[in-house]
Amino acid sequence: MLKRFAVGRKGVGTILGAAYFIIIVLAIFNLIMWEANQYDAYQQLVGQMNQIDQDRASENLQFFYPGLTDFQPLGSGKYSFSLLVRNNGGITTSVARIYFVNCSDTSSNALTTIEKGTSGVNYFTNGFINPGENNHKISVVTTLDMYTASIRAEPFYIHVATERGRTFSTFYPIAEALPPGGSVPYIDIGPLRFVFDYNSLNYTTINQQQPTQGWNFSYTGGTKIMFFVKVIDIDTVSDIKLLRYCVFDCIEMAATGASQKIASFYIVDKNSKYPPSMMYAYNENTAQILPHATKGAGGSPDTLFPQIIVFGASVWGTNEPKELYVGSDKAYSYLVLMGFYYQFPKDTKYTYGVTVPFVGIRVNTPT
Amino acid sequence: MGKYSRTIRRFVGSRRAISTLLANVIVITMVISLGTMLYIWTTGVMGAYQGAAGIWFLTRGEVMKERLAIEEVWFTNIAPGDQKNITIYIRNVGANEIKIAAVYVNSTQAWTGAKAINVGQVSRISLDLRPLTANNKWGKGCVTYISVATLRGTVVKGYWQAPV
Repeated sequence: MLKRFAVGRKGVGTILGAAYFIIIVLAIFNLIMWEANQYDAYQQLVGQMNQIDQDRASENLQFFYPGLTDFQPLGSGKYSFSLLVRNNGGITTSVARIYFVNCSDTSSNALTTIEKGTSGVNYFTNGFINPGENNHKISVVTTLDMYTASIRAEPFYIHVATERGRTFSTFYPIAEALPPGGSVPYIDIGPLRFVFDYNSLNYTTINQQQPTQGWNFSYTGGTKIMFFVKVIDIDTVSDIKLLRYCVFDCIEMAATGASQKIASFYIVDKNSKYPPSMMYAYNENTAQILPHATKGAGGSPDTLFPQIIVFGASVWGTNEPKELYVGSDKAYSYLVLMGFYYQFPKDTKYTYGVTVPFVGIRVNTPT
Repeated sequence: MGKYSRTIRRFVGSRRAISTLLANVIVITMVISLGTMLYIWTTGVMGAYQGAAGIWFLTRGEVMKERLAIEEVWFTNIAPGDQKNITIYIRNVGANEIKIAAVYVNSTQAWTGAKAINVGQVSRISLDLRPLTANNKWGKGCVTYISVATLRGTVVKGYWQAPV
């Protein structure tokens, strides 16, 4: 056959043309395959990066009220606390960095960056948050005294940056939505909670030695009187020390408005029962301490410790009794302004004075 | 050789079909030369195309791997209270090293350079607003438009509000 092919003279051009055609077709096919390969690799990369973008978009951290908790001084100017978050996203989130911006500070120290780490200063741990995880605590060690800042109500912006590039921010202290008006019989002022139920304001006299409600009662002019008020320290970390200037001011109300008759009852010892014989002076050295609340575990409510504060002295730090201004058995009403002076935390330099919004009491008023 | 000597003598001595033979030789030569030229041209064209396409895929792939996030913008001062500095923190969250080429504040270039950020790392860029215009400073409570561009052309932008 080879011999016939070698001596044959027909179809040489056809063979050559076919060979060239096949070569060119193969070259073009090779080119197409190369381009398809390149395009496939590129599309794989696009798919991978789209997946990264989707993962990033799936992250969703929310700050959990009260935002910061578990405050602990560590000494050497370092403090620890926990940042409360929950992962509402569909993917595990890893925190890369936390920024604290002190809104009260206009200097270059206003920004503090907290890095992931396990030692040193300005670091955090436990920054890995699984999806659906609630009340997750990111432990932070820093030079920022956030506890003191919180009780001074110094505002901070907190930015939590994740490893995928999302940033979640909150303002601290976190504002809490109040329950519907009228549904909660108390008022919170700073760490103090004043309870307004029927037996939260009581009184005693020599003729009424068992505390009884003090909103509206019978009273004979000139009778020494003491008042009992229910108060709670709702802070979960620090106790409150009451100072001797705490006062229960009863401003007599006349038909034309407030008169100039004010009966001021200063705080007395908590063991006082009724005036004048069982009323004891208030001593700041053995001051009344309002114990702090205990943090509820696992999201359950905090345990509160209501305390009774007794007012009755006409001069602070004494046991001199005091009476209300009344005439005979006439009906009188009083606008009461309670001034609370306290150290918070106790035995520190931070002293505060707050007033409770006015309450009214009446005597000798027919019901 | 002796086997074919008679055939060769007959071919040389014969006067028939010379023109047909020459024509065949010429045609074959032309086909070979033109085919070779076509092959060379085709290979060159395809090579050039492959080179250009390869660069395109490579460049697009490198750009596609870039991801960066501006995770903090801090409005601060150079001199106390002058409101002429903005510090930004940029994190590389992509799959490739990035080089920051420029930062724009309210569409005005506030910084240029080639700051490299490795994957997963964060870098801080301080923007001095003084050279921009005579009275350029961030305004309290004002919204500022900031965009960051990389050398490969990725741009990340957003709005940040200065403190009140």
